[in-house]
Amino acid sequence: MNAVLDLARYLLWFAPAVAILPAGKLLVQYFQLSSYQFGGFFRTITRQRARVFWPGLALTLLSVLFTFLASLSSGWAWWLEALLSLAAAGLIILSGAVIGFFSYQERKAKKRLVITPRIKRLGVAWLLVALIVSAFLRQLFVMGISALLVPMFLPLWLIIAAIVMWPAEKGIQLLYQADAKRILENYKKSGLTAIGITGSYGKTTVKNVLASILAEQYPTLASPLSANTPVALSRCIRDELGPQHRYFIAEMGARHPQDIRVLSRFIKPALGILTAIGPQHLETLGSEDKVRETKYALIAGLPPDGFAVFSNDGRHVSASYRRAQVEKALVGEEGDDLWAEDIVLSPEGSTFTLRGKDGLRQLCETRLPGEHNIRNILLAAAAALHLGVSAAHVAQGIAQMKSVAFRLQASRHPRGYITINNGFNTNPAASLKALEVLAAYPGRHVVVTPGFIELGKQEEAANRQLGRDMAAVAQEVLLVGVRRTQPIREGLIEAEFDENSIHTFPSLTEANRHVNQAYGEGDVVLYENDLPDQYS
Amino acid sequence: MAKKLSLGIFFGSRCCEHEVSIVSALQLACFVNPFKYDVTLVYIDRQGAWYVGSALWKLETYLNFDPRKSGLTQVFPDLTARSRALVSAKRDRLLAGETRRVEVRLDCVIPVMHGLHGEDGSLQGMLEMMDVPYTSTGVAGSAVGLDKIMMKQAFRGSGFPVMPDTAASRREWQHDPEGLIRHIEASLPYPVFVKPANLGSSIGVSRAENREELSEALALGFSLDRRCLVEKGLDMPEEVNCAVMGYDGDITASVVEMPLRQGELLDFKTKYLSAAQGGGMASLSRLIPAPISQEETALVQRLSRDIFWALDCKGVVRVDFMIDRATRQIYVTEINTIPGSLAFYLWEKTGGGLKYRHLIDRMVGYAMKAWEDKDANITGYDSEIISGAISAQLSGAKGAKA
Repeated sequence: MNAVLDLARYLLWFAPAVAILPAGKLLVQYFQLSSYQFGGFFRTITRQRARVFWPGLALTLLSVLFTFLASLSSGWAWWLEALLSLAAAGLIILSGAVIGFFSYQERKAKKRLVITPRIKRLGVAWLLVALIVSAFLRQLFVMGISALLVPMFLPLWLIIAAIVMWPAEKGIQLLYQADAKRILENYKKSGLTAIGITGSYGKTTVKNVLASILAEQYPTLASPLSANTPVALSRCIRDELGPQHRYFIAEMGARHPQDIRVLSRFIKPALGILTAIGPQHLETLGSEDKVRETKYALIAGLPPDGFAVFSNDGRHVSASYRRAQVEKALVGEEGDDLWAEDIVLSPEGSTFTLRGKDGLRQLCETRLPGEHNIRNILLAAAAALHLGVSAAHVAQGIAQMKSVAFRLQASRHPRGYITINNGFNTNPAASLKALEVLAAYPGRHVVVTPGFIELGKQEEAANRQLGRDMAAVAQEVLLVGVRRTQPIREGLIEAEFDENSIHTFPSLTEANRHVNQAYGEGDVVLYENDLPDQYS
Repeated sequence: MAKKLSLGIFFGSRCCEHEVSIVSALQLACFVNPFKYDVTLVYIDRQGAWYVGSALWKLETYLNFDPRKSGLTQVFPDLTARSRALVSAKRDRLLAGETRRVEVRLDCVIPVMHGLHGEDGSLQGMLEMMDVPYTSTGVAGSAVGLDKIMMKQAFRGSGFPVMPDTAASRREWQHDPEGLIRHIEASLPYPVFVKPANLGSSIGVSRAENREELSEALALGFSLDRRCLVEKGLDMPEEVNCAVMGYDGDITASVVEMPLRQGELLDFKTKYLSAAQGGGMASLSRLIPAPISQEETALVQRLSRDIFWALDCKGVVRVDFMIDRATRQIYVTEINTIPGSLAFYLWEKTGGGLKYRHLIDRMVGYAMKAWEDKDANITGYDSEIISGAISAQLSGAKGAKA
């Protein structure tokens, strides 16, 4: 008989450890959104203090309450106490689920939590840590102490679990990466050419244009949108690279100083493209000089018979060009290896003549809007011409190229207004280009933006500048978020923008509602930097 | 030095002339210029499985073909356009999963197959899907060239002289044999030839002098094919063949040959021995050039070129003719879009004499030209259909049903 009571007491004791799992769903989502990086995760937790801690506190309150209520029954008939303990345990777990539901639902998650094998492993580790802590607390012989401490320090157990799992996860990643490398090298033996693209911005567009051109010649695989880390590239290679492919184009992103070097050793590209060097990810990389060093690792990692393409920016990239030891091409300005002439811009795209130092003259037509995209096209064209694609096929590939998803994709809303989406990983220079594109459209110009993120010390200044730039182009500005967008507002007002035309919304959902109600035929709405959930 | 072209020689396949194909292919492989091409033999066995490997160069391999024999690797063609890869798959390491390896990528394919599944447009269709240049006639020409019924209709429609014929199907034969025979007798006088429509070779072809023989011939023909061609026969015609090479407007006819049948061989041997100077059995079974008048030779060559043009042929084909001994009227019998030995023996005796090695170069050249022409065709496939259908869905219209 007492065994049943003991079991019920045990269950009540360990119930809070189980309940934290559903209750902490939002926290796990933040961890996933931070790409499982502790630095970013801690920054998010600090930024989102209230959101992160209220589920734990609410659960603490409820679990202490239910434990207390159950304890009132001690001394009653054993079966009644057992029953009440069980009920309390059940209610605690249910509370966890309800809290999790509301804390997660409260935010219309733009990027939902994806239950990957890694998340499952983390969940099990988290549960084990909480159970071990509960078991340890049982040695203290303090009634209800687990109900108090376990939910209260809910994020701590997750962090401990993540730290414990870190070596195992790293090991699993390395295994996958080794396998991806094996596959890549296997196909390289039968003629696969790997191409690496890096730069502070433009790399996704260059990748897409190059993929479009090379596909005119041979089957080509380009890494998917923003898969620019070893983990994402490993997955792409293992899942998608096949014997049919003759080109593999890898976009290489750098958040940390060693990133490109690591990627370059992994992919071992025979051809590298450096698009641009600007103030991006300064929070983690430091100065622009550091950015340049980081990006140059791609060029330094090329084999002696490799080929490198650089954008002539007159600054960091041009300096990298001069430094490169392999066969190389500089594009952009007249007299370079490749440049554009007779550029005619229009909202629906542009035409230009591709000119080469060797006398090349090829008329090209593109649906990518804006002058900045012509530079991106030149970079891709230089690489393709080196790989033996004819000028006519280069032009055809350029013409086939659709506007990149999320990158200045213009579409017409049923209500009549045109939306342009620049809502992905933007930076000051790209925003400026997006604003130029917006300016190329006739009509009333509206910008919806939450401002820039992750620019470190420059963030406030960049946002202020964004405000000034928008003032020159936009007639209406919709700011998403109050605190973070303050510098943008100041910039707008500085540039004598009508304060009545600035609308501030707590979230993108509200801003969207306004767009839908207020705009119609003749309006052009630019979505500038649509933030993931952990900011805002 | 320019990069060598990767040349695939495809042979074998599921057809009656499997073994002829093997011999033709190995013969061709020996003549390929090794300084210009990397040759890969690609053998399709009787089950349709594909193999590459060094063992394919030995005739003994085919005697009792065993896929497990060393020096053979089973491959799978990658149909992705322009991949042109033949891929093998094996588990080479524990836990590593299956490793797919690209055994070879082909820049050009020479199909050396006769009959079904090789000469009939099916392989050509696959090569078009793979977007790889190949040396034989395209899909439509190959298909028409192999189907005797359609070939006759195409020839007749183009105004080429052909023997009268009628077509019959197995269904008609099963439901109403009497009616079918009456119909044939009403349209054609005896003797007639019954030919299965889709067998490239002369297998199943029989001659009928009367109703009983016709009935037997049809029974045999329909046991081999669903459709048969029944054609008016000629008594002891002279037969002559002419090879044609080229692509598009660039068409050359070869010297005309006269193949000899077993029975005729002795008569002609004594008569024309001096003409067959080459010696050996191969040259004894045919007379080159054919002992016909200059005008007849010119007509045969002109008809051959016109037929080549009409079927939009490519590479090397051979057109076969019959000549009525009495009237000297010339009839087109058939076209072989992949002739045995690629008729190289005719080209060696045409004009200044074209070596087999150079014949191969020419064929590869035509293949490349044809591929480039097709490549130049393709412009954008831009379409608003999908996006239009989506907006129709969004606006609630049932446009997709229209």
